[in-house]
Amino acid sequence: MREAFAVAVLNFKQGLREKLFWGVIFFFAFFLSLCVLLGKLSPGETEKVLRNAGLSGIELSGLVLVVFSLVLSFKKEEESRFLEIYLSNFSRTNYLSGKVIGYLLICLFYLLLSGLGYILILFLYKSFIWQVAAGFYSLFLKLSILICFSLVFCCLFSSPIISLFCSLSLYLASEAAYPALKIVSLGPNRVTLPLFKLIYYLLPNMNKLDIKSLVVYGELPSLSFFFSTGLYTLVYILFLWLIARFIFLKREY
Amino acid sequence: MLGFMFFGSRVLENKFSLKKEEFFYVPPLNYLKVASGSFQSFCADIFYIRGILAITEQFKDRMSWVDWVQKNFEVATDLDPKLTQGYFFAGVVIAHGEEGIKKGIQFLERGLKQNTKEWQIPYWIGFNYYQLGDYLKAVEFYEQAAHLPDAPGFLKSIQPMYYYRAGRPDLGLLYLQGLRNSVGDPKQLEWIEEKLKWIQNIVYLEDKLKQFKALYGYCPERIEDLKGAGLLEEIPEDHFGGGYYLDTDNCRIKSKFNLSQGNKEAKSGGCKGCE
Amino acid sequence: MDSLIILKDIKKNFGKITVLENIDLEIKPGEVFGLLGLNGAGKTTLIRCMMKLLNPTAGEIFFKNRLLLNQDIQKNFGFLPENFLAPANLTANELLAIFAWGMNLKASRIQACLEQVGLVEQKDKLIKAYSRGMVQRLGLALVLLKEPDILILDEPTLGLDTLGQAQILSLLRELNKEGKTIFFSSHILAQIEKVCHRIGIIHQGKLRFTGNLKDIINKYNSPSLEEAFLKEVS
Repeated sequence: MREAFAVAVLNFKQGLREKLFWGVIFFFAFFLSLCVLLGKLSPGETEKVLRNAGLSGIELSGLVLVVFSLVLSFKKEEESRFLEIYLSNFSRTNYLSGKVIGYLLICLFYLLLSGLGYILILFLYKSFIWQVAAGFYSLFLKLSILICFSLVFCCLFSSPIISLFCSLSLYLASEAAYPALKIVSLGPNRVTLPLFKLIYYLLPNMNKLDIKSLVVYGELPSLSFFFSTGLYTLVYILFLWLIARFIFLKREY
Repeated sequence: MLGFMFFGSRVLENKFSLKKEEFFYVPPLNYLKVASGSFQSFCADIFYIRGILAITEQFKDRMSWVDWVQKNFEVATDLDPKLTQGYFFAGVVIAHGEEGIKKGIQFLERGLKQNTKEWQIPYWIGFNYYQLGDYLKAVEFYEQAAHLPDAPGFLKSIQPMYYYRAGRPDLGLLYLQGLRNSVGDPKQLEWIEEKLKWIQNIVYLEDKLKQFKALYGYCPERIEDLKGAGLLEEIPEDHFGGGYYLDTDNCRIKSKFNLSQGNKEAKSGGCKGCE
Repeated sequence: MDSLIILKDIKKNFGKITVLENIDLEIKPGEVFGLLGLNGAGKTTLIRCMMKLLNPTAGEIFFKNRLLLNQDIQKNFGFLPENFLAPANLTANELLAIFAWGMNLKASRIQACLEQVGLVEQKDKLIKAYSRGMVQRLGLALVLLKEPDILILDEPTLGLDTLGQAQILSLLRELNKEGKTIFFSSHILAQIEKVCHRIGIIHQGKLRFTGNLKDIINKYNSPSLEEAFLKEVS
């Protein structure tokens, strides 16, 4: 476990000092000003639009950060042979665990920083409601799953472009899965519907994890929701980690 | 160089500018739902903003403009039924003229099915019917609005007035009697009692008017004729409007409360309040 | 003397291409073994098989008379890969400190390793400001952190200037005097001559020669290692 945390700390420190991290922060700061503009263009719903745009921006920028940062760092470690230094000192399992923990920490840190900026803007424009803080929990869960998926793809593919493409496509697919399922279920097709259902249940249920549309109106789901989504995410992450480990143990470098 | 860029762009705009209407397109809702995923609410906000900006667009044909604005708000409210102000803009703000108001009502009634909790939506429908002069319909929706959460108190109190304007003060009387039984606050009770008395007087006078018409076969010229016919001893005092009078055009008892608000006819009289 | 590491009949294919064939090699404790070969001879592949980064298609690797396990590598082997680059946004101190903590080593090891490789004054500079030679020395510091018995170094002087190369070789001599077994690959004959007790020549995936310098020179009756090497690989 100590080894895993050592890898995590290394990845965390390295990740925070990357240009990508600060680039995303800068981009988000710029995006916040866009959120203010969107709020101004929405008379009657200014506060709601400001909250919604901010949360959506945090999710999208966080997605870009964790996916690109993880995939590129994995590739960089391979190319710089630093991965071999890791593997000669730590077990492969601990390396993977450390990678996941490190990027979860980066994700958390990013949510904290961006969240502070976001809440500050909400206070300035008298749009703050404490329920938006609960929205960060669901964002963290979604991004955690994406981190693990990216790790699986990094272990599977040697090309970082394919890993990036697969990670982002998977995110889009999991976002679109529920509405697509609803549309397909309206039709009489007996073959497509079971297939869509299978895809929907295999993919992470992002629609279930997401509570943005609730918190922006000051509503919160029940306490059991937080517990069950947390558990679902944990189990899903563990499952993905096991897949990544299985692939990584067999891979040659 | 700058001059060339300036004049060049002017030439391009004048020669090759396309009609804006050709670009006005709203993607099908199903595709939007799939594409937006868990960002449906944010997507709704974008279409809400688009709708707001569409209000400022210049169209040759007014109804096309209404259609375009409503399309955007329709998508916005379909994606996020809680965007209450979207219903307001599409159902009330842009609803001008009889046709426009009817379109507004259609939009709002659709919204009412999607969002059953916001008191504003049935209230706005009622407001639109009020503008059309259909007071009975207006009061129906005000009543619906009054029963929804966070509905303001005035929704309960304005209903008798609209029953009266719809030519059904008797319904207004029944409503107030029911309301009196549900209210506990002494000040509110006092106000209801006064309104009750006022409307009771109107119902009483209308009843006497009916008796006069039955007796003589025509509508009297003034309210005092009822006294002269021996049907009543005194004309009751009007605490709200400053006096009851007979509207000879419709042969109806009215309160001088009406005159300061402008004369809005009952539905049979047409939409005189419309532009 | 029992061999520390024994490679028995190692073969490695990548698809249809055979990169290593019938490699039999023994490394004795306390010796400096130099693996010589031209570019693409299979030196790095062999080293990676030893480090279990690659799985041999056939053959076995023994460590202290039993099959080599991952735990043995993590505990006893110090590995410096070819063309190694450290994370640019950390300092040497941070990197070594985190590794030391992860391997449950004493903090005093960090200073000792930095002194040994001569990076004490640069320990708080970001690694991206280091020269190639400094990065290589940092790599050695990482390798030495856990005080391994065996150092496996893949082209440790690659890309270094003359001074850098001399410093690395001097360090290897020192480490060998401390009792460490060193296995390193190179294609620079002069380095091999200066440091190694025994050498191996690998050519086109086959181990053509193992023995000490005198043996190969006598084999071809050559005046120098260079000539003997060229005759061996031709």
